[in-house]
Amino acid sequence: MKLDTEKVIEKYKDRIFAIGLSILKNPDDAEDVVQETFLKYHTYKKDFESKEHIQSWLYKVAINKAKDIQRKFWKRKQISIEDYMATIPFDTPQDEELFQAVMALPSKYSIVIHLYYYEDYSIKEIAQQLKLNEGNVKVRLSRARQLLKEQLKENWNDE
Amino acid sequence: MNNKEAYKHAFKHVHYQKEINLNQKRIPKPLVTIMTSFIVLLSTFTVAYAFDVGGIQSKLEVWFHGEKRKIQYEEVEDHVYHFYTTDEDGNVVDMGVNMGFKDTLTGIEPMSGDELAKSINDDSEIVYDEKEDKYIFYYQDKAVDITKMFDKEKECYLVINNGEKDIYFIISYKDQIGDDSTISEYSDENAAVTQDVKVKDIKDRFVRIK
Repeated sequence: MKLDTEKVIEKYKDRIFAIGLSILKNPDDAEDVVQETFLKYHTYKKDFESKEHIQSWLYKVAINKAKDIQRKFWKRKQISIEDYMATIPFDTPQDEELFQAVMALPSKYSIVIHLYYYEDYSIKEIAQQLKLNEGNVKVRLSRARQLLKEQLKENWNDE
Repeated sequence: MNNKEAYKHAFKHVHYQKEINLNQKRIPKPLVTIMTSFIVLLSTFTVAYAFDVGGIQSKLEVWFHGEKRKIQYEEVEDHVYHFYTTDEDGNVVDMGVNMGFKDTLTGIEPMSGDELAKSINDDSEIVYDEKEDKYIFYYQDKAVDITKMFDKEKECYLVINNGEKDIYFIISYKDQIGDDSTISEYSDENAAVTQDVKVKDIKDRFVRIK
């Protein structure tokens, strides 16, 4: 199966953008990830097994693209994450604090946190997506939670 | 509210705002490397001391804006490196902080400082020369003024031999060269530029840079 590109864009563009943002911490680069992920989907000639397969494929492509961008030294003119945050209509100060704390995490932790808490991925699914072993994922998740707790204090529950 | 609910709540207003262009004629390489005011940037970092920022003295030389330069790096956190080189006057230039990943048999692993340094040699970039008001494309030892090399479709085609094979570059922009350029790179003339077009189908468009 292959779903119409416009429908896939509508369903996944925000989530791909958030994944790009969690790795790159920069909205301009995250936008590039979105553009290139959907362009690749649009030109991809093979069929997918299911909707879940499409999602998994999209996220893999997006994560790889983000890591490619991360490898490069010279970045184009960019809006800072602080300037970008000023454009987000957070509902509460706690939302803003949490978002800021996640953006301050090293990418190897923030992507794990994001896949776990936003995408509801299991440890196993995160490991498959990021090509890590489950032990590594657990360690990164634990460390990320620790860092968030230090930053957010009572606004982040112990788990 | 539990952590998952709080997390989703914090991210609920994060939206992708722009249009997605599905009519691009290529799958763009995931790098846009444009630095405005490069000449100004160099002068910002003029520090006249011997090239030793206290980091690892790499023996590697890499291509940097058309010239071979020695580089140094220091690991600032796990697998994250801060790179430095010097300009033609011997002044230290801050190349920024970066980390990278490589595919291995056991999965994706972080790159070492030397591996990251070597990857610089494969990079191409566009730099704006504010003094001369022109855009320079750099790849290894080549520095090409591409300011007037774009066609009506805002595309510029270059082919450069890297010592082993021809590399085909397609540079494009949407509104202004300096702001939103895309560099696409093909090392195989059978590579697809679009679904129906291969590099070899449009070879006559590429200007060979010697």
